Amino acid sequence: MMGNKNPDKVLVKKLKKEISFNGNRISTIWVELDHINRGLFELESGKKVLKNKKRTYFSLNDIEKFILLLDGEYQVAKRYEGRSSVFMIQVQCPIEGMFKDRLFLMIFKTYYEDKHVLHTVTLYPSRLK
Amino acid sequence: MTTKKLKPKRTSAKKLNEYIKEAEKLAVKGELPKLTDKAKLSTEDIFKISLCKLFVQYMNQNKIKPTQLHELTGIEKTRISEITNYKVTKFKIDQLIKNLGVLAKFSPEIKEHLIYLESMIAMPLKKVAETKKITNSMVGLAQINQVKSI
Repeated sequence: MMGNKNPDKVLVKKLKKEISFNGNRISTIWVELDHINRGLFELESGKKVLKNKKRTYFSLNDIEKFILLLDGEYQVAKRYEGRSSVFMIQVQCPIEGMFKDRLFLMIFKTYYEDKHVLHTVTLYPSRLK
Repeated sequence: MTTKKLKPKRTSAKKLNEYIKEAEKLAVKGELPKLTDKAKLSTEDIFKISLCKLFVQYMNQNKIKPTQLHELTGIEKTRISEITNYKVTKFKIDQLIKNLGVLAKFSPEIKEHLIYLESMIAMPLKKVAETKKITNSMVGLAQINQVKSI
């Protein structure tokens, strides 16, 4: 299987309704939709590229629905990286369809320099029940 | 506080792989928080979650990990993990308050917050309308202060 070497850009979306996460008002989300829908594939050289075959078919609006679930939440960061905090959580899929209520693993970041942004790095079905 | 405009930047495949490995490891160990349906929570669970949030806020403010909090306060690592991941069935509310008392020794904000909670609980029983009025004004005040601090 060949990997996709031309990843998409990070998509930017203004939320329809601001949410509060860790006491900060989030108004904008950055979404790496290709990371979410494709996942990574390791080449023989060890280099990791995006898979060609999609694992999910989420749109930017679908990802927004996941993000809205974070409203009013306080979560502890799993990593602190100088300019950002990295969060890892499990969340039930709110989208109607084959993944409805299935547990997903979501990895996202918040930045100290712009507290209104939430950067969704990836989101994929968890193997755990 | 003023905030700078940041430009979106992709996460490298290497970094993403690191994150995924860490997340999978934490998920297997049961150390990943799971967002719960708030409608299904009992009053006891809501109380516990609200108190757990104080731990989470303290850790985020000071950018410390559970291990560092354990070293600072002496609270068991497993208990810190349960609290910060909101595993509220694993402990009783009195144990949580005891742990908060320990944390309060290191945080004047938490110490003051506990004093505030004590005074709220000690309030005499009032008529429904009066209590609602007090609740609404407290919530409103907290929201205004939150906006100011952002």
